[in-house]
Amino acid sequence: MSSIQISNLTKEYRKKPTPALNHLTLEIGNGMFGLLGKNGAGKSTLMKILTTLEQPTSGVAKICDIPLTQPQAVRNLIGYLPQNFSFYPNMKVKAALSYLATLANVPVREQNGRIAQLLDRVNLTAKSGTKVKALSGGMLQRLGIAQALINNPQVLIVDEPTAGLDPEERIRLRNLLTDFATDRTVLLSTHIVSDVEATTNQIGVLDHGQLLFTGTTTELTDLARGHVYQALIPAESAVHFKQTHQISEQVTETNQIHFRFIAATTSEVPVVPTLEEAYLYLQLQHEGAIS
Amino acid sequence: MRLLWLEIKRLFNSLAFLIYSALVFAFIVINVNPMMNRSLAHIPAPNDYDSIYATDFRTIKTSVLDQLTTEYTMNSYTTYPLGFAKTTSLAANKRNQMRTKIIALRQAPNRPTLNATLKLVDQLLGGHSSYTPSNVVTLASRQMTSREAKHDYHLILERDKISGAFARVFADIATLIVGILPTVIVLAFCADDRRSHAAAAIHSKAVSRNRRLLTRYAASLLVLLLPVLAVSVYLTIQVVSSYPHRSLDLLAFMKAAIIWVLPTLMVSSAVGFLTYELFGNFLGFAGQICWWLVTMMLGARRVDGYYGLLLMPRHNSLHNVAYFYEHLNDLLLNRASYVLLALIMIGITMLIGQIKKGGYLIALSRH
Repeated sequence: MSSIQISNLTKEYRKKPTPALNHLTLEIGNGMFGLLGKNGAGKSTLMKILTTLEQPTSGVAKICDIPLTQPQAVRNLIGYLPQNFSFYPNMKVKAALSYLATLANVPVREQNGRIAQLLDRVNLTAKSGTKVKALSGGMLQRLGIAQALINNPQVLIVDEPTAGLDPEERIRLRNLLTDFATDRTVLLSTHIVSDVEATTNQIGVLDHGQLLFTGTTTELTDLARGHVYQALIPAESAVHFKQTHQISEQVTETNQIHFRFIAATTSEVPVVPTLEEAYLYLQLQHEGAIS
Repeated sequence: MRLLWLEIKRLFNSLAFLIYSALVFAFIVINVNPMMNRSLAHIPAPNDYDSIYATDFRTIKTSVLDQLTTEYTMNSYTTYPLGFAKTTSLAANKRNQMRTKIIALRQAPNRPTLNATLKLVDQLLGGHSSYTPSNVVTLASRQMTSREAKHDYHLILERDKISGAFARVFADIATLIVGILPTVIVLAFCADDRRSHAAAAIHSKAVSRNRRLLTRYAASLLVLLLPVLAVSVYLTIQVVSSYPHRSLDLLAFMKAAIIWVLPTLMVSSAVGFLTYELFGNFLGFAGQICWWLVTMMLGARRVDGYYGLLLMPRHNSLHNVAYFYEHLNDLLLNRASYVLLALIMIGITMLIGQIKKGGYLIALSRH
């Protein structure tokens, strides 16, 4: 059974010529699902619709078989970590969770136990008496995850959770999300391919409100197989080479530059694409930059 | 109840509330204290009788004619559009018409005839003058007679039980400050969600938008009334210590705070919620300032007793008690109307919230 069912979902905004979401259809089951897309691809719009913060122009979406037209019921099932999460700066961490637990209709008698448990899981127990404004970016995101889980949701929706974090915090956060995905659905929206690569093999790629791909990471890299190449180019020819190829990676080696690039076909020997290259290939193909 | 308590705590612990409390407390105490020092234990000496507005035909007619003749002679008339004083001059043909009206006023045998001519005078001046039938009493101010002063004193002792007279002045002053400040406090309270990047997390939780709004509205009323109640307790203690052997109404200030002040607070707070939902910024405060100014100017013409449709009914006098009891029903109707208006504004806020979120039809279908 799918935890999230999306059928023909469209969202149009006034004064915008193209829809933010264009007849999107997608099914997401248990475990972690990574939703990849550039900034402005429609990811946050989809998150907001799934969390009932916005309503679609047309189409249907269900969370655990409950349609979004029943927002109260849906909100009882979901947890949401929004992009750029923060909270009232002068409120202490525990008080913030208590406030959000009340808003999430968590019974008062259960709140203390649940908050203590969540603070422990996100490693913030020592900070329970700290004001929100004194938390680092990583701690704030962990608080964000704790608040998203306060109602023990069946579906956790996280929007760009690692943006602005240092590598250590990023890894810590990804591991946390993976832990939480063992017994629920986690929908991770991001434009950072490595976040998805490190946490799941189930992905979708969104661009201009349309779903370009859905499947496993292996299936995505298979799509790009035969379209990623490498070449060693003298430094003086590098500028011209970059102008005529879709570069995915470049490493300078003394007087030469080692390029990896994406192309429909060339005389070079293809190499095994990375997930990032596969993602780039898909985007370029969609934009008509390569055939 | 838990959410209400948390919202109360959040507002109570804010810097905005601290500043609000200090301002409200200081404003009321500074303005009421001079009145508190006046003694109501004895009937005033003849020279200290309060002024009141005459209601008898003869006094009104004389006062109107005195004022209008002076203005006619100088060809300089004062009108009050939206409560603000404005000087007007009349062209030659209109001056002639005014002269005719003055003659007609002199010959008016009774109040209906006088009123009919006054309407024409007001029209000639472009409206908003002191010469409308309802405004002319403001021209007929005079000192109380001995009989009136005794009646006034009797009412203060018997019906007001002394503290009631002070409570009216307290309510008059308190409504002035709660007619404006709560709007900006509520706007800051609402803006906190967005400013703190907390809005999305809050809005995605199970508690509905409407319940959240109603809870916050209730919290704002309870918390923002606290400084007013604190002053009312302080003033009650002052009255008790000043009149130790008198029969006092110990709840007079509290009743005034709840029946007189609270409706104004309900409105100014509701304006904050409504305008934030509409504009998402502090624009509503500018609107409230305009409303407040107009009410102030309208009320300023009769500060010792004027209720009408004012958001902030005026009674800045320890006396004029007979007027108060004669117009008590008007005051209560005024207060009830503003309670209703505040609730309507909150209802509209809910509707706008739904419309903004998901389209007009969905909003309508849920209400």
